[in-house]
Amino acid sequence: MKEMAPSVPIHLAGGLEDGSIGTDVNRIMAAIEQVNEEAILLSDIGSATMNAELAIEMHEGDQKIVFFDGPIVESAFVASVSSGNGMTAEQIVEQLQNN
Amino acid sequence: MLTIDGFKQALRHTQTEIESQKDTLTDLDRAIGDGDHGINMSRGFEAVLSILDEDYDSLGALSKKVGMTLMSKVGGAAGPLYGSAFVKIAAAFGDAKEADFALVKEALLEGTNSIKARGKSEAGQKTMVDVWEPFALNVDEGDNYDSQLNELVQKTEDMIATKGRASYFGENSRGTIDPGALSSSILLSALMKEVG
Repeated sequence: MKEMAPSVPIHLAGGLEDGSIGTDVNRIMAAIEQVNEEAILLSDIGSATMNAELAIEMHEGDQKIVFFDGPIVESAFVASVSSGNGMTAEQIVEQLQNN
Repeated sequence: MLTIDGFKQALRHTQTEIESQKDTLTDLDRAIGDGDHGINMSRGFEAVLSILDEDYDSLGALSKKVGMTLMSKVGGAAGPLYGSAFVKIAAAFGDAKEADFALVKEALLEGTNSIKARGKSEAGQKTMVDVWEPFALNVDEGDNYDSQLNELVQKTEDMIATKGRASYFGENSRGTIDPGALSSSILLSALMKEVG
């Protein structure tokens, strides 16, 4: 993704504070805080999906966060390239849904 | 009657019991999941233990703090599920400093709804909902709470998982009790002991 869309910011929010496997809703919310205007939030399975949805519900900032529940590697690839090409988060999610 | 101190005692008791059944929880989860339930619950309730020395004005304030702690410390799916349940239970308790049986039952129903909404799950899918929902719906004051809870946990053994990590095992998930059901019974048993 860095090679195909070097200008697109990607915030990683997986894992726990101590680096162990899993997800922490606070880390996801902290990643959301770093977003300028809008972002697509992707997750893999299990707690990641639930915590992603929870983080969006708890988020109080102005940033627009769109969650997409799909294959994370493929979705992240499509999203970053499309974002680099100037598509909005909403357009990208629509594209992902039609894939 | 559940008091703030009683609630704290129930959480301490839960932590002790989770710790002593940590390997069982992990073994069950290894059989039909990703094998982290014991470790995750242990880490979560260890963190809960550390917030119990603080003073709380209400059952709601304590429950909310427990929920937020579990959300960030558990790591696995149990984090958002138990976390949301405690946050919802907090809303049901509100500013109350003590709760009678009826209020606890109402709070447990709210907690159940929150778990179902967060996990997009229903009873019968071999998950923690299979303990929370029937218990919260059917429990009466003065019942033998532990025997009801044990029965509900055992019932999950024969179920086929259609939700959660175990659902990937399909038919092979039959024959193992659900680890989330077991950890739920540990928590609810400790809580009901304090309600009386």
